[in-house]
Amino acid sequence: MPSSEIEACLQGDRRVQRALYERYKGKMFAVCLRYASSYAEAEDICQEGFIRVFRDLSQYDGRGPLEAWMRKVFVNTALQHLEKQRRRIQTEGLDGVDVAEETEMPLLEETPPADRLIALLQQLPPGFRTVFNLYVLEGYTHAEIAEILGISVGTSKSQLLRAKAHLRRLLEKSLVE
Amino acid sequence: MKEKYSRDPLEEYFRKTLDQHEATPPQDLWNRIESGLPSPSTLPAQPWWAPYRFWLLLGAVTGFFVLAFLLPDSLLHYWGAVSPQDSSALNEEGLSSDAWKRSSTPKQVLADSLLSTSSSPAPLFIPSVKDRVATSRHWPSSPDDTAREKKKATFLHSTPRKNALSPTSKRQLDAPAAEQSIPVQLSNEEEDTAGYVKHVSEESASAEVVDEEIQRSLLSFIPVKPSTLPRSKIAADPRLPLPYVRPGRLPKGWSVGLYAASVFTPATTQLPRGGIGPKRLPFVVQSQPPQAAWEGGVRIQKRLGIHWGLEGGISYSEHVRTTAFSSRFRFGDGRHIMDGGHPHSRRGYDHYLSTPGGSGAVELRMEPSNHTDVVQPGEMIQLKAQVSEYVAFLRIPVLASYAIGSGRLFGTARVGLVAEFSLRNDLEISSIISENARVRLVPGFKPGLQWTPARTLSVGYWLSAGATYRWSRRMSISAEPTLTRQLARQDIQGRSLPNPASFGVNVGLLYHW
Repeated sequence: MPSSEIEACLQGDRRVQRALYERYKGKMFAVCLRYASSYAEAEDICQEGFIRVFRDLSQYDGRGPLEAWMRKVFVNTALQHLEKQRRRIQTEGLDGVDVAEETEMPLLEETPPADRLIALLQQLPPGFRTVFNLYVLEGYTHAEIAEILGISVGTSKSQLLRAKAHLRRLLEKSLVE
Repeated sequence: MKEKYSRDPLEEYFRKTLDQHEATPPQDLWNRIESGLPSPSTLPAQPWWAPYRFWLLLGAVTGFFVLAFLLPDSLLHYWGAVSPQDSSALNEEGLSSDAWKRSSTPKQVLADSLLSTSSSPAPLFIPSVKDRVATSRHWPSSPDDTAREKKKATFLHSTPRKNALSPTSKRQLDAPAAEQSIPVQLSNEEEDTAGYVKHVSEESASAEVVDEEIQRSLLSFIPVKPSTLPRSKIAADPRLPLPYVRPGRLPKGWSVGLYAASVFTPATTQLPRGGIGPKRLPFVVQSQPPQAAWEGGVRIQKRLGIHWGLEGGISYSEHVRTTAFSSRFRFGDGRHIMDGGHPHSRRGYDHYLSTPGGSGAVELRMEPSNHTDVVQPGEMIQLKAQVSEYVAFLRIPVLASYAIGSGRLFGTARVGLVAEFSLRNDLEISSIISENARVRLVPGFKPGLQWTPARTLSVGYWLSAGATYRWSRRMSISAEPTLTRQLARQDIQGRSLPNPASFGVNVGLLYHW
């Protein structure tokens, strides 16, 4: 992305901001869907993620593709969102908390495979889902995940194993049906 | 990032399938993002130096002081040449301008005083400016001196002082190779500077004039610059540098100054007000770093004496103050809104904000993020809002000033009243974001604001104290930490408004006459 467009975004030029949004909305919303437990939650993450991107665009130093930088912003936004959710569960209890519903998603044959996989991911508990996303799809190591999430390396590994086991069960179940 | 990927087929499957996956967000997402972005009009154009303004100001002030100390002596000691009035007056009495300069330069005067063997030494004149006379002791000794005194009636000869150069001290001067300390008193109606000529010997005299008052004061750290006066050259070359004489404290007269100030106001300005809306206080101000506002103006001062002065002026300031604050209240505190697809879940809220610039009623509309998930009335809602306040005003201070100390660097304090005329007072909501995932602002709804500005005129007080450095006879620079606070502010409907104190540093460049 040319620096002039970045500058225009920082100056609040709605036309350029809209163009940036249109260019990356698909990929970024897909990232949000993977981390969120519901479509509505993904919307919130995506909304906040784009606001952060426009606010912090001055921090993009031009090294590497803009998409990779934006992806990091969205992943961080999603992680913070999940952390807020976790704290709310701790302070207010489970009553009234928007826990991912264990609803059976209709995984029809004509559903694109990516959407089917996202639907499966959204059925994972948040901890499993986060570690799986960071390890498998973002390419972080367990040590990096442990540092990002403030957990031990062992916990990261065990969460990944349990996430994969959970996903296998869900996949088998969906194939049987 | 890890270098090698696992060969787990499940991981590979997910990675390949989702790597370049794109999903379609809802149509109204852009509208929601846009409502959360600061509007372009609220983004002030930031000059490149804006992030460094504090350090630039600090550097400029420091630079001024360092420069003043490093200025060559010639600029500090004997300001200017003979004024046209002096020249014409002298020409009337038959003296050429050059002769006047030569005969009456301070160096020559001192040389004459030091070398004179007559019992009636010439008066010490420092005639570089009109009505400026320094004398150790006034003994008219020649027709020229008498004529000069008659013609230049504006000259003021000070009364002899106890430390004045006297025949006794001149006799001491004659002592061979003895180090002496000869006091010299230089005074006139503009300056009041005392000093000593030190280390005077038979063949050469290294001279050093030290401000007597400075020696006794806390300001004695100011370096004293010695110079050498070979006696054999004093008579031959009157243009030799003279001992160091500092400009004294400013006497009666006028000063005009250009001032610039960086003013910080704490962001405790957005406060909840009672009235419509929830019973509980909705808005909680978050601590924000104080934001500087720039102010520039001019002040003119009448110096009533060496200590007291009166001054007045006018200054202008314009800035945008952005404050983020959060509100926390219960979902059920709002009233039901029936205009939408979910009549029982949408709620409206009205809040009063009060800032130094005025008061405003803010209207919000919230709804559950997920319509299948009912939000209970007792659930807490947290919003993060950002408001931009546009402020422009004229300030008219009327101050009394007091100067302390003498020499080039002296303290100043000011106290007085400030009238503030508001030119612009607007407030805009830049963004409001729901901090709760379960509740959001109604899509497409822009929070409304009914703004009532403050009254145009308000009065406050001014307190400041700082330092002034006089780096030439006419020019000074000053730096003064300043505290101002407006009293009893109200909006145009009579509602009282907060009146936070502002703290700033006034930096001034002054001209005296």
